[in-house]
Amino acid sequence: MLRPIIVAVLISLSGFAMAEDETNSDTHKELARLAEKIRSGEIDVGKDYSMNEKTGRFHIIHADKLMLDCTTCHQGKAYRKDYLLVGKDKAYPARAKGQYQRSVCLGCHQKGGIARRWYNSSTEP
Amino acid sequence: MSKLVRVIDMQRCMGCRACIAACHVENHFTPGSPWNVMIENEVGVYPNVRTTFTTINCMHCEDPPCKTVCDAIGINAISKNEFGVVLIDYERCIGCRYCIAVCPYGVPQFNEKVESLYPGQEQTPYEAIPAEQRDPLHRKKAGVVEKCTFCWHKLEKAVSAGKTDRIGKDPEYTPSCDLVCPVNARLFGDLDDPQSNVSRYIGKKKAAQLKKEYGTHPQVYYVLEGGGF
Amino acid sequence: MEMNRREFLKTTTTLGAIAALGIKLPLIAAAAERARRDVPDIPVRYIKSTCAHCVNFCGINIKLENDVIRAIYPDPERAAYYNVGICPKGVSGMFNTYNPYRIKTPLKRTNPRKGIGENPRWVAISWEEAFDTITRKLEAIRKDDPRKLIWQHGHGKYLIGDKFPKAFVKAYGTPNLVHRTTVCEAARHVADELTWGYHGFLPDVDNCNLLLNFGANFFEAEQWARWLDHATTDAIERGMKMVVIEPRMSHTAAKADEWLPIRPGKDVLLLLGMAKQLIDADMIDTPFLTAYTNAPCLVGPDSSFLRDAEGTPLVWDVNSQSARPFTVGVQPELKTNQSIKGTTYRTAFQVFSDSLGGMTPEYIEKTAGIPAHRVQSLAKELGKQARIGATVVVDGNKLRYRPVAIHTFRGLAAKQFGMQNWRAGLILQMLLGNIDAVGGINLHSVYKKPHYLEPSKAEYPPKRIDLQESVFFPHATHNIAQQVSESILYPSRYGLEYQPEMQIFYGTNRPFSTSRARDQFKSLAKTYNVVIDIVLSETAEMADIVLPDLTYLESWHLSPTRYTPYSKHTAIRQPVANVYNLPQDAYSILWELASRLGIRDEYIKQINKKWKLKKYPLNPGSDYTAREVVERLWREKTKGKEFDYALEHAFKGKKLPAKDTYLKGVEAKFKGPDQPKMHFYAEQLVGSLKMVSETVKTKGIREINLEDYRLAMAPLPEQAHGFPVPHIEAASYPFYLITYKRMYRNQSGNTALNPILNHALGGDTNENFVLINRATAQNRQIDDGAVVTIETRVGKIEGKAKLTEGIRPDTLAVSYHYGQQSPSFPDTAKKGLWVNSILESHPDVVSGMESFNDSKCKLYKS
Repeated sequence: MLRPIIVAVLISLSGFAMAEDETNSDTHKELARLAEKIRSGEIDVGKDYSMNEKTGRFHIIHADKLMLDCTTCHQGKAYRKDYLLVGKDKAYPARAKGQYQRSVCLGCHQKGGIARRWYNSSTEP
Repeated sequence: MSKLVRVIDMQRCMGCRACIAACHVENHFTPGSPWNVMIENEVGVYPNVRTTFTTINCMHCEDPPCKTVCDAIGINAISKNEFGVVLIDYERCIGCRYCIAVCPYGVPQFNEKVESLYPGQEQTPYEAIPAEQRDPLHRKKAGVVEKCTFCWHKLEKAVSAGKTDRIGKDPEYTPSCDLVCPVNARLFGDLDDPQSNVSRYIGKKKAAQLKKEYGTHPQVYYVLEGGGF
Repeated sequence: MEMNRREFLKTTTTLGAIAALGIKLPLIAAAAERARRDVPDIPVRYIKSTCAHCVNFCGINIKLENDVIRAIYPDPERAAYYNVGICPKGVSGMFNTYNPYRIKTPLKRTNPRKGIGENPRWVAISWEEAFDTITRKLEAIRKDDPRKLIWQHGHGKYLIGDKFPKAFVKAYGTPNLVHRTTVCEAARHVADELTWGYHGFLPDVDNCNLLLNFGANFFEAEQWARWLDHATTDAIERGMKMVVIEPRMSHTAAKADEWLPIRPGKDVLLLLGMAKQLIDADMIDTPFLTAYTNAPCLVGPDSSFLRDAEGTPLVWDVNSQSARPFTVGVQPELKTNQSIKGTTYRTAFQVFSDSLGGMTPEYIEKTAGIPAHRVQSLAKELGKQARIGATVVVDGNKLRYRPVAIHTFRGLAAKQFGMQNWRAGLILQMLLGNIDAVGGINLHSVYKKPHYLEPSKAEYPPKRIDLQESVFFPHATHNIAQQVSESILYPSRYGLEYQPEMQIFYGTNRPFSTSRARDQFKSLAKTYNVVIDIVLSETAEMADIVLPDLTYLESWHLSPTRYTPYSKHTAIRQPVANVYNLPQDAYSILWELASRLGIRDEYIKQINKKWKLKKYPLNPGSDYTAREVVERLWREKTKGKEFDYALEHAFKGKKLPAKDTYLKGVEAKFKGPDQPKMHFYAEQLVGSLKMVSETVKTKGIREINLEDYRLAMAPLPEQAHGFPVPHIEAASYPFYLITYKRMYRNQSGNTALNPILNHALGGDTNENFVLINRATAQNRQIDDGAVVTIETRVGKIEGKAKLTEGIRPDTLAVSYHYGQQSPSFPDTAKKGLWVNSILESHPDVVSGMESFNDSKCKLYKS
């Protein structure tokens, strides 16, 4: 039940606009709580830092706990021809559903996002 | 202080890929794990069509998400030194690939295995150089991540020799990709020096960084040509 | 949360810690850091040399660590004279040497059957056995008829130069040394030679404002590419406009101001169409045409010039109103027709002008596919930008200033009517008066060989196996690479008095690299073949004996170099390795063979002659190593410069003063009265055709269709030269098929096994494809990557489709950078299509140039 709503929130975050309506706001809070629980260790996601989709924390966090659908990130078989990426010709693992859309990460992992900050985003301090 | 940056002039680049060959020769290419690539893209429809040529390698970001994530999980395999060079320590890397996941430029490359350049054939003297005679950055390993180092093994020599002023000029102190370009489409130098070649070029030709929305502040600048960046 | 995250971020490296304290990294810390990183201290050496992957001969700086070649960089000193950078082949050139697929020992064939796919069943033999076998064969042939030996080189010419092989064949007694220029650009050279008595030109890029480029792809790979690339890029940045005219959008077109996709083979029509526009608008340089060219000469009804008793061509003198030789006091009329003793004579210019009636913009649009309005506007742009009449002062010299140029390479040349195509380009430029003008095209060694401006002797029977300068190819002065095979298979057709028995191939993959390539291989089954090369190419598979050669990084040579309009230089190549401890290279092989044949001293005499060694000759009775010879050549060519200088710098350059660039050519040789003239009108072809006609009749030659020769040998380019045989005969084949080069590999075996080129440049370079216009492919339901068949009248091949907007909808193109077939190569080295195997062969009968861009084909899904 939670999955489609989370996806909606993520998409709204990556679209640079925070959803204002109550449902989304609640979901956002719920997601933030979930994220904090993962960080604090309250929710156990294991110790395996890897991309292994069964045992690795990466997919446990994003797919199992946050219940993101594969297609949230894995969106196509190949990157656009004009997309600038060093590893764009590298085949994705056979079990993956496609290459992943990097801007999805930006939604939560930028400054002020609900997840750990990997990116500073495009705003000034 | 020095902030070493590269400028790539797409308006001059003719797509020859000498920079790519040079990178891979200099840095003991691991098949399947490119450090520098060329992306050719057609713009327009016949007969009004042209090609853009974009080479990309590690951006050596001022705020490198790869390092941020690596530090965050306590591995600390990625460093950024005072010259702005971002390096991966193969001995510390655990191959988790988080850095690959977060890099907006798709730079880090995971080595499934380290294959010979001539599979099934005798080793050439180039490949037979033993590990202890290579720079640690050239001791390729399976199961870890590697990427462009700005040819740190050369820059470091300039630092050791007290010749940082020769970086971007002398072959022994300049990244190899920047040395070989047939049309002078690449420059390397110190952005903290307002008189440096890169400082002047960035201003004069309005060079820009790629994918600014990630806030990574790349240390590679582009004189852009065509759309879609 | 923010705090927590910050706590996580640690700067753990020593460098990071120092940086955080704000301390400038002291040397001691750098050393400590290197120690911490366990960086070994490896002795590094740099050696300057010259690259030999292609015909650019770039200056290189080779980095050796512990004597291992670790990298190859451009030589920064050479930038002022030629190359700023080097290409990916040169950058990764150590893998030309470090290549486990190298031939490491002489090999002997044990399977007597020869053919494509036939296993030679190689057996390794000693050098002694190899030399002994070859010597006995050579001795027997020499005793019988030395002409039965054919020496062929391609790239080999650039490894040890062609002068050693030329000296060897001369000493041996065969006229048959054949180079490869007819698979490159021979037609362009011959057009030059017929026009100004030698060949070679370059646009004066530094001063040019409008460059029309007919398919010269110098942003990828061809002669002068590594100078033209940066010189043109600088010029474009300065404001020069470059228009690239070619059916496929090359990298050069991709960077141009404009790409005009012309229909294959129709360039001559566009050039003539623009000439008509310029003449009609009177945008021509009449003083230039009058004073420097034979355009004012009077042409009779037989297409020959009206001459006086001494044979001097006559012009119509405005002052005396009479036909006179162009001497002092005579003012030639450019546009006129005159009745003299009842016969009408027109000036050559008038003949040309009158011939252009049909070359309307609408006709050009219909045939060449360039919009009529663009034909008009481009001609106007040319005429305007040429600033006809302008002068400029450079270094105190008042010079003609015409900042427009037309450039080409194989674009206009590699066709059945290649010579005429480029003649049209030269004529258009004579109209503009940009020849040797500042900003125009700059000619090389003008009038060096005056006999090129005379009719051919059209000899018969031919002396040479390739029929050079014979009745069959009267003005072919650059050998005829593809003809050798035909002559071996059918000597009597060509009146040859001997049947060749032995071929030595040095650094060439000749049969593989020409049109109708499968037929080429048939001739190799008829001769005893020796191949000298570094890998087992397709040609080597047809050899009886294979001799391993040293690579360009393992051997000595006084390298060829490329001049520019502004500089020239002398260079050497020096060895930095000998990976497989090979005792011989082509130089020493020739020396050894000459010694064993007992012709060494004659060989030495010929070497002195061919290299023009005056002060530092080789002495008969002595043997010389390659290094010793290169030292003498260097000293001779640099007027005594110490060899130590060569070892350190590998070259010595010279910047040319403006007077050398602009005043030594047409200004010195052709300008004004009592001087020879540049051939606006190639009247010598009329004389040559007469010779051919007479010989054909008197000797009863059946191989020559005089109608074909009449067409090809017209003194002026004309409409028919835009219609090569397949365009007329293969009407049911809807597509034009063209070929091109990419930067990344050569067609020879030289680069096919380089793992950097094969695996590290990107997935879009490591194969060749059938380039198809996207709309064309969609109409035929062909997807990107689908396997398609292209079929010509010669045969069919399969390849992967690559869809692009960068090609004409009626044209398909296949690159030469892949397509190797040698069974000795691994699969990764020989992907893609061997397009030469299906190209029609219709050589230019004037120049001998092979046709590579005239075929028509069908396309269908496999």
